[in-house]
Amino acid sequence: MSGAPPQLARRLLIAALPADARDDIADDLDELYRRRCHEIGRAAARRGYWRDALAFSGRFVLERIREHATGGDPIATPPSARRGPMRGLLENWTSDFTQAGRRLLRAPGFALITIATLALAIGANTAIFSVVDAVLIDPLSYPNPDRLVIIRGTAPGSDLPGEFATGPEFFVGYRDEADLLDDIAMFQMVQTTARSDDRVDRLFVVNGTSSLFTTLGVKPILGRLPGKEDDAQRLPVMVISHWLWTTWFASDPGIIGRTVEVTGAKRTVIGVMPAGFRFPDSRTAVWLRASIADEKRIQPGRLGFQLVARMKPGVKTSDLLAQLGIVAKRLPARFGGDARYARLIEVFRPVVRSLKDVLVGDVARPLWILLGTVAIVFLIACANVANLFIVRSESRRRDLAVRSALGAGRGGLIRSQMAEALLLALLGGAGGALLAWFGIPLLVRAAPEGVPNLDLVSVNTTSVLFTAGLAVLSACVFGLAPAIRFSRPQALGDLRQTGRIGSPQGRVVRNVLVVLQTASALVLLVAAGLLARSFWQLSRVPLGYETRNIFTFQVAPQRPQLNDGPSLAQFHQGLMERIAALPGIESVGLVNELPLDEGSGMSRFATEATDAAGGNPPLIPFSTTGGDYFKTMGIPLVSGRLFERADHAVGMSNALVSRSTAQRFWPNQDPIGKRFRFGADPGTGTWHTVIGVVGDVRLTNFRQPTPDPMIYLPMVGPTARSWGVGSPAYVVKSARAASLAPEIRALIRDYAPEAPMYRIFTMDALANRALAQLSFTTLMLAIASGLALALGAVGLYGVLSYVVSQRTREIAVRMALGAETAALRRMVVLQGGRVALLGVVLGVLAALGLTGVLKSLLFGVAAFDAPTFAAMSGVMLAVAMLASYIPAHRASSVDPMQALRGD
Amino acid sequence: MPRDSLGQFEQLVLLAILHLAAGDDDVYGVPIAEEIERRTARDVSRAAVYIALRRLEQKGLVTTWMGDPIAERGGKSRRLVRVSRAGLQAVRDSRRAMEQMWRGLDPRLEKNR
Repeated sequence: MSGAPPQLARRLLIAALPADARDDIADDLDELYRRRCHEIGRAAARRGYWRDALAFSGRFVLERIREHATGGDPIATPPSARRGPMRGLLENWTSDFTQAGRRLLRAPGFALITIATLALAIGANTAIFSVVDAVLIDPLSYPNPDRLVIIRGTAPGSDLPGEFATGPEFFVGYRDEADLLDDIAMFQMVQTTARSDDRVDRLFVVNGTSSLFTTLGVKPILGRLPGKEDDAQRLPVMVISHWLWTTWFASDPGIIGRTVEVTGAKRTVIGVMPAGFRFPDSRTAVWLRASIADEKRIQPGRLGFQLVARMKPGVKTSDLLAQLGIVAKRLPARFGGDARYARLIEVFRPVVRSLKDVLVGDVARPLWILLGTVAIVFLIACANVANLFIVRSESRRRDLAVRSALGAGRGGLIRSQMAEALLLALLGGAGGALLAWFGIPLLVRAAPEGVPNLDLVSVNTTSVLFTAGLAVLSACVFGLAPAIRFSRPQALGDLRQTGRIGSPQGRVVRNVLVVLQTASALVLLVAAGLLARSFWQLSRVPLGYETRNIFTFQVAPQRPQLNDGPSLAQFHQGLMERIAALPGIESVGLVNELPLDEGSGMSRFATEATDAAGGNPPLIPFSTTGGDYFKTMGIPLVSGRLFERADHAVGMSNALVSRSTAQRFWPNQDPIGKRFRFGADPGTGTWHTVIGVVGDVRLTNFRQPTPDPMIYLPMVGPTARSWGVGSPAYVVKSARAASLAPEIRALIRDYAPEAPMYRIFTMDALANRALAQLSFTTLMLAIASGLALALGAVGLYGVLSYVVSQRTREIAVRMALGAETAALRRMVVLQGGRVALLGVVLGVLAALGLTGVLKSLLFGVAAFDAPTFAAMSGVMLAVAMLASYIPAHRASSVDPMQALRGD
Repeated sequence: MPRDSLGQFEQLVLLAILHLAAGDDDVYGVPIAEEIERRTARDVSRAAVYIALRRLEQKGLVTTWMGDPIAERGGKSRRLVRVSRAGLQAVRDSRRAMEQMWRGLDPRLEKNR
């Protein structure tokens, strides 16, 4: 399959070639391109085509200039070109372009401002559109992606989170009974240690049923996918990602059949996926075959497994929901389960979301907002260009009238105007494409983590052409009106007119454009202001712990003798002591789940009081901690004491609670010495004694309205097998936090060579990551509104300086009659101010209607925040006044004698 | 003698056309560029070849016509090239001029090799 040559290159070529040679050469190059696609591949053929297109465009433009310069007759076309009237028309176009080029060279200011305006607007639009296109419009590379859904559940009235992943019994039930589904798979993503020869690392691994690949409809580039035989024989097989294949195995084509140790067991590589396959996201390196060994032994109610399914063609989500609901209700009858499970199923409702929505998730809204923003910037730019064109064509009215009087046809006059617009749009579009080319990598780097497909973003040629096309249209619409008007025969009268004062219609249109520009720029300014205030508020939210100068990493030791709480605790105690002995370390601690990174585990905790009240005891997040965790993180001790070394021993059941946990369990009492039970079941739960109360923390992000209640347990439980800190996160307080990684890595290699070190961050980086979505959107909106402000100011300045130049004579007369310069300045500034004020009023009204879309991003500030509205209106007016002042100053420095004599 | 003498590149193009005309294939821009590349072992810009053809046609040294429609081009035809009588004369003239200029130089240049 060869397809068409690069469209942008072809268009460039067509535009540059002379009419008489255009078709022949373009067809020759097309034919050559197709031949090369077969000979050297599509990518190389495309490169070759671009080279040819650029060479031909350059050479033919130079050739044309040469023909003109040497007096070569530009109209003398070779005999072969004389092929009917259309050819002549096209030939005139090329001379129109040449002349337009010359005219623009004589008005470099106009040309530069127009091209820069267009390039900025087209560049910004293209960059954002390219991201939106890759991330939102076409994020899935599976066949019929609209039929792929993620199935979860909700149980209103229970204390489960609003929407949760279901369990194996749901998978089996849906698979057997939901006939609206073509295929369904269950998967779970975990992070685990993998090793092969000398490499060891923590990788993201998906445990998925073998139906995962058939559901998605994908094929490997090497080897095969797991199937029924693998399931029947329970073979330990795995499929690896393209990334793992290239980085770990140097793209070895003999990889199939090799074994890799994953989660402590040897597994055979049976397939390699293509580079574009990323499920559920780009982090996944390995897909392990998982299957349900015995469906009769499923324990219902074990949640946390994701289901992905392919609907049959034409199935509506509402029908599927109804069917899944019926299947779910029958689950207790088939799989059993306790009374709590029966209660859950009673209120359970399935939730179906398109796979695309799940993957794109939270990034959709900021991206659409950004696209809307740059669209507004683009409209402002178009208004600017239109304005510039009106001014320009009015100043050309004499020229047009002369040409018309000398017998130039109307068509010719209009064409010459259009040629100018097209030439500028072409250059602006090229500049915009260039800006997007450089801007997209910056944009991608600034984007928050977790945006899917960011690595696939590239300059979108459709967008370049589309935006350039719109710009041409606006230039033509506004540039053409005067061209048509002044090319009328009666416009001859204009020759007699001095043409000093712009036409009244032109002035009205120009003022309307400036009002609209001001209004649009103000909308963006207000939006940027609101986001900036949110960002400021959010970054001042107290997390409950410090983030400065804290280095963190995880380590996963793997030795057979590390098999219970005390042995693991001893291992980590030893490592903490070694780290603490490094120079410049203030304190070291560990926690099994770090705030801002992985959140925390949850469990049910009971007290005598909750048991007496009956029902489910509350779900509370908990963490095991060791070393100087609280001191390192700066979490304050409120009362009692922190863990000491002796608390991390078998049988010691001491615990710490956060202030809000204490308030919840023992309101208005001293919690020290009180007891709570770990686990809902009085038969199996273990009792713990509170020895201290610590400050509250926000575990997952800055936006949580209230801090999480927390329970902290020591590294070792009541019995040796209660729990163990397998791969905890270390926190290290040091002024050298940012540069500790190599030292600690060397230390670990010495202390525990088999243990991978991973998830290496500073707490500051984690805090920035938590703010990234808002900071990214704020930054982009700030840039866009700055651009809008500048363009709006240029627009106003352009209009006023034109007015001043047109009124030079009037101003001169006034000055000759004794008008004061200050009064003249005031007159011009007020004229600009009136227009700007109208724009500000309109802008405030528009912003009131539009800032609602920002609501989900705002924090601690209302969408109609009056101070922000007032401040931004002030900024807009101030800039407008500044833009008016320069022409006003020019007006007041007119020398009356010279101005009047010049007539 | 034609109005103005042939440039070196124009000569290469004319000679390539004559070489290709001896074969069965269509003679047009793309194969002409390839023929020059093949024989001189240097990179030739296709654009330069097309510009040269355009100038040669304006000078009347080549004539062009539309060939038969071709399926691979989507039923369009190629603009084919042939050296005109005047073109043939021009190459002969320039060859003669070159030979006159070379006469008597060969031994000295051989020595310097």
